Amino acid sequence: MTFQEKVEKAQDILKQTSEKWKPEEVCIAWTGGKDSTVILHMIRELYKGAVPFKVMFNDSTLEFPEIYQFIKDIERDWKLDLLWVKHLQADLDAYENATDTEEKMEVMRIAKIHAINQTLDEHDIRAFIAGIRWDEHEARSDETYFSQRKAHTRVHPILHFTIDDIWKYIRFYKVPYVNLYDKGYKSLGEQPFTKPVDDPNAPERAGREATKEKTMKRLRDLGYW
Amino acid sequence: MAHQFKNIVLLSIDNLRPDCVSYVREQYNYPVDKTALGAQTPNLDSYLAKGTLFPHTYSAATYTTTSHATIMTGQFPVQHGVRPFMDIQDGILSLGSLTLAELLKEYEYETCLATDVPELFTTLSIDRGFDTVIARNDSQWQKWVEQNVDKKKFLFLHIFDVHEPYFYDESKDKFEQAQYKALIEKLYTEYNLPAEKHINPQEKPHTAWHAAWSEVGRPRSRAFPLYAQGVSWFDQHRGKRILEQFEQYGFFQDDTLLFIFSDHGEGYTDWNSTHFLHAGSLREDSLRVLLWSNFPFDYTDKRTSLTSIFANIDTLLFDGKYKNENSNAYIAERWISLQPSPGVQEDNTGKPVISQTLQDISYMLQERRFSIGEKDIVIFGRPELLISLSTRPMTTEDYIEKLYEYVLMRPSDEAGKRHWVATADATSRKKVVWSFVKAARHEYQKPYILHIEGWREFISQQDLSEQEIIELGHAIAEYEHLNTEETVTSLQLFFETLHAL
Repeated sequence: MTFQEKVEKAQDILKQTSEKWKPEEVCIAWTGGKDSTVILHMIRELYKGAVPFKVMFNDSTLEFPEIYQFIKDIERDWKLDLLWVKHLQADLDAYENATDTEEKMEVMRIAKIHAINQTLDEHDIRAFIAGIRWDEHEARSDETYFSQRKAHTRVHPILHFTIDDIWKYIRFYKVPYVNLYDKGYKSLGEQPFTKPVDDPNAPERAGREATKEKTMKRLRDLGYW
Repeated sequence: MAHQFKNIVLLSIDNLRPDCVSYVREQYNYPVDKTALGAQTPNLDSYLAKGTLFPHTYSAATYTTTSHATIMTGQFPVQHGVRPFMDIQDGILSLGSLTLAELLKEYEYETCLATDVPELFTTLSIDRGFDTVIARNDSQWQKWVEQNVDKKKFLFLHIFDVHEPYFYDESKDKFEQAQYKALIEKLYTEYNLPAEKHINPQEKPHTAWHAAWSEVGRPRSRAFPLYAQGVSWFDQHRGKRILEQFEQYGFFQDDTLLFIFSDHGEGYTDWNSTHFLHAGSLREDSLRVLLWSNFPFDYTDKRTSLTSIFANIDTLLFDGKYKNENSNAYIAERWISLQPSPGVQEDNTGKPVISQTLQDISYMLQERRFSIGEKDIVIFGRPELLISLSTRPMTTEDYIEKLYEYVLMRPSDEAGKRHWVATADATSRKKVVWSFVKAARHEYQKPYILHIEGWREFISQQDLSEQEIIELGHAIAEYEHLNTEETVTSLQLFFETLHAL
């Protein structure tokens, strides 16, 4: 597939999504990171600068300050219908009480799922668009463009993009992004668990704690995610 | 309807002053240093006569890396991120910057970067998008052209011959350069360089050159005439060979879009120095560059910037879809290293390399030049950041360190810092700011804001009007992505402080 064909494929998935569901049933998972911002940009390209779907930012309260600033700036500039979803207080308390890093990370992963699932229920969301890619991690290599979960469908329009395609899209379409990537961060998770990666050839998610993907896979297997 | 070109060719003649190209001198009557008359370029002239000369073109920096990042992306330094000469920690080409090579590759051009110093590009990712990178080998890029004769091609050729060491032909085997060896020996004799400091130019051509100047600095009276002769030498030798080769390949024909340019000039280094070099202050003779194209552009005599190369290619080929929205101000900046920088040295085969010790060097933004309308304004330090010091909670130690950075543009010395911390604690921070401003004026013996109205010389020192301060504040805020209101207010406060002294 050429780059242009890859973009068209992603756009096609988004078009199918808007044909299958009403706009109010669709929500985009936006982390402020490069991948989900690329999806937001694609939607704006398709809808003449508008984003007709809901946009959810799941705030762990531990994000980088640059992420918070970016979310606020883009929400304003792109006139987003933003759902700013904080982790549940009970989960944040559990985080405070957790004794070691491993436990704290586990609590935050589950907290994320709690917060998202609750919001999907509350707003009656049927299609949830996420910016995951096949090349990110082995655990994601089986994902499909439309992935049925218990009460909703996960939509993955940029599954076939490589990390190079993402940056190419950002460059060719002038997509804004958080400057942490220029400081060596490959992937942006919660601030306490994310460090810049010195080796440019290191796997993209090496910056986050390695156990995360394992836990995520387990949670996906359990039907959480 | 967009234009079609089989070849896009960019020839970058590193370090070439436009007034040392005789055709430029003859066509345009801007002030020319009479020493430049020593440079004669009949070969280059004969080609330049058949295209479009942009006579008032400015670089975004006085050093190669930053300037080439600007050429490759059409962006100013704060946008593409390559700001100090060689900051391999934080000064790599921004991930979001689209390069000409990436753009043309997407439109099925074969892409080749041939350069005499590849480390200047590869270390900072300025070579992003090039399929082929060729180091110091003219026959190899010619082979590349011939192998891809039927394909669409983008060739970026960067040559270092006009750059110091003047007269050194980077394309030739070093042992063949008898004339260069003779020049170095002449300089050693002229400057009475002790024998133990002599370096064999056949082994280390760059180090041998620097050794020649080590005892005498780089007096303009001696270095500029040599530079001018070096330009003539280049025009008669490697420059001539390259241009003839270009002609043979049809690069001056209509199916090729060709740009010939330089990345920065050569001249006074610092405002109060008579040294002749580049990478120094943002003066006309370091910033003004050659820019020419074989395409019949419809241009005016207005000033232009090297960002225009990207913009012109994009406009002709892609209807301007990818170019950047640049500020109305032309902007240049200069960063200084806080530790001695080894710059370009040689490896054990005599090839120029960038030292890895660069990774331990930290840098500071020392000067910015904003050309707004007809006015050029150079700012030293970062006066617009002073206001944040009064609103941000910080320890006295951190506060004083920031004053060193923003006002004196250097790291603190231990005794000085101790003194000012004690003074701030005993009196007030405001009082200390004023002392720093006075000290800076004394230290640099120059005003903070200069108007530059001539080709070479700093002419007059004037105070800015209220309106000009506001315009300047807007330009800085836009450029640095700062809050406009805060920036303007901070500049106003800064000038009030200055006026009150």
